[in-house]
Amino acid sequence: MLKVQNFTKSYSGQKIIATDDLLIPDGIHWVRGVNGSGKSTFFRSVAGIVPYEGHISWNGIDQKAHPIDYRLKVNMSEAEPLYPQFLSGYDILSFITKAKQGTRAQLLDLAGRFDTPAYWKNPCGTYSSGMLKKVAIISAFLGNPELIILDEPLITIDVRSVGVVYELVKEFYEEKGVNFLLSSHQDFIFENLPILHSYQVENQTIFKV
Amino acid sequence: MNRILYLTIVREYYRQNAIFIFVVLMFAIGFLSGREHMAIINQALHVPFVLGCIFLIWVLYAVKVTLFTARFLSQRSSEFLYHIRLFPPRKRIWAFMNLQFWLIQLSFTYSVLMLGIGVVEKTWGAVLAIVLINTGLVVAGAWVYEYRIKRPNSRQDVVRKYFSLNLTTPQFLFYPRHLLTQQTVLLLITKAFSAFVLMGVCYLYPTDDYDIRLISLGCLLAAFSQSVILQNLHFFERMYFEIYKNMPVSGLHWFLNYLLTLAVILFPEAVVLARNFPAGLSPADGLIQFFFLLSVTVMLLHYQVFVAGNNESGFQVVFFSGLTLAILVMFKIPVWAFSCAGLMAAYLVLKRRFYAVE
Repeated sequence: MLKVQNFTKSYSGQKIIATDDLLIPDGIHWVRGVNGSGKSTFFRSVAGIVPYEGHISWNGIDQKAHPIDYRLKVNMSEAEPLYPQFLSGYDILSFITKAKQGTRAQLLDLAGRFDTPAYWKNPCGTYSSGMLKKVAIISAFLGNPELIILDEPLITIDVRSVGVVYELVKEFYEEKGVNFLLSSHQDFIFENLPILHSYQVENQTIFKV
Repeated sequence: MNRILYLTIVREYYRQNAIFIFVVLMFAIGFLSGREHMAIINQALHVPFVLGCIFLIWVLYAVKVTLFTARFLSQRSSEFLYHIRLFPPRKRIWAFMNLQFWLIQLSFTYSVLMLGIGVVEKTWGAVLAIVLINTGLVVAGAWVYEYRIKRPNSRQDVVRKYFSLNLTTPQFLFYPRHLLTQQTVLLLITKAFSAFVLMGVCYLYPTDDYDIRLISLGCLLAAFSQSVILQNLHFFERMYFEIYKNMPVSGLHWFLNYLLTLAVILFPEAVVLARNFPAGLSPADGLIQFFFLLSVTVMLLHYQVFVAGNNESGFQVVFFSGLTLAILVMFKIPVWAFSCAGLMAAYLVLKRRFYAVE
């Protein structure tokens, strides 16, 4: 369960998103909101990427009190990943695999599903936005996460890869009990994913729909 | 066609590899005197094994430039170069040979020197071998480019088939690679300035009775001259690696990582110090001075990244802390103790502020 308490995220004194008390139970959840509503900022706060006021904990592990334990359990894939042109996807994924305590077999399995080994040793500067996106999505599944945040996982990737994302989310949820926070401007195909709740980010706050 | 290849590939190669070539030249000219080069060339002209070793280095360099071009051709921005295929084969291959010739200038220039000496010495076998290896390198490069240009999108398969290595760039080299490829001018200017300062203070020693403090002041200035590079490290990580904050690794890991990154960035300064260190001072003094240079740079990085952030007034603090440190050095503070304390302070700042920086 994700617990968010007295949470406020501001940039230059301007509040972006805040909530006093939010409990998100285990399962797959869809977070919705228009562009600029603060979805990504909320996700980045939950992933521990940006500082904020308040407390966020996953299954009792407080992000600020136990930064390493928390980050072993919570992974994230960004909506619009950006990597240095001179590094390869393989460089980046190898680093994240090691940091997230994943295995090479796991990396090869995930990469194989998205056909990334066909290009992952080339520099990122040669990648299309879809190829970059696949690297980012793979990175979110590495290690042994209990919560995976996928920010706009369906944009820029091809139809076959969209199918792989559905397949992976379903597999990780059903077989490993991994929970998901997803955001998408497109409708998720509900018969493909057992989405438990939807949350709306609006008027600088987040609430269950 | 020659002009297009020159402007797109040759210029880009030398731009991206300016530091590499600078380092090679520094080693070649800095470590070996002209007399030593002559001795090596004479040996190579008379002993086939030595000549073979030199050829191996040239071949490796040719592989480096060829892979660069192949990689360059695989970029989206280079797609227009595939129109070269529309030119007649003879003209195309000639252009590729010309391209390879410009790219291997580093080894070719040295081979010209060897050829000149070989002609004087009348070692005709070695002279012929040098001509043949250079011709071979040019032809082989042209063949690879011709193969590549005829097969768009096939480079990955060819390279993977023959070079399917699982080598990765270690994390501590991410930023040095960024500097080498994207911030070459900044790196060159910074290194030239700090090398000039360090050599300058070293050359002052024979002129008067200076003690170790002069070198310490030089190291201090060299460390502070890195501040733009350190500021760019902050921007680099904010732009590409915000995901670092989601990595479940300890503060000590990040600290050691930054330490290694800066040790790599300060490698040219270490070479300059080693080459020019005053004769009257001990090697241990040299190590302590480099440690001082490294630790001040580490402290600066941690201040700029984790305390000052994007705040431009941070530069004022950097300036005044530099002055204070210089005064402390003049008052003979033990720089090794200061370095240890500084590293510890930097680690504590990182531990406290790593997740708070935005």
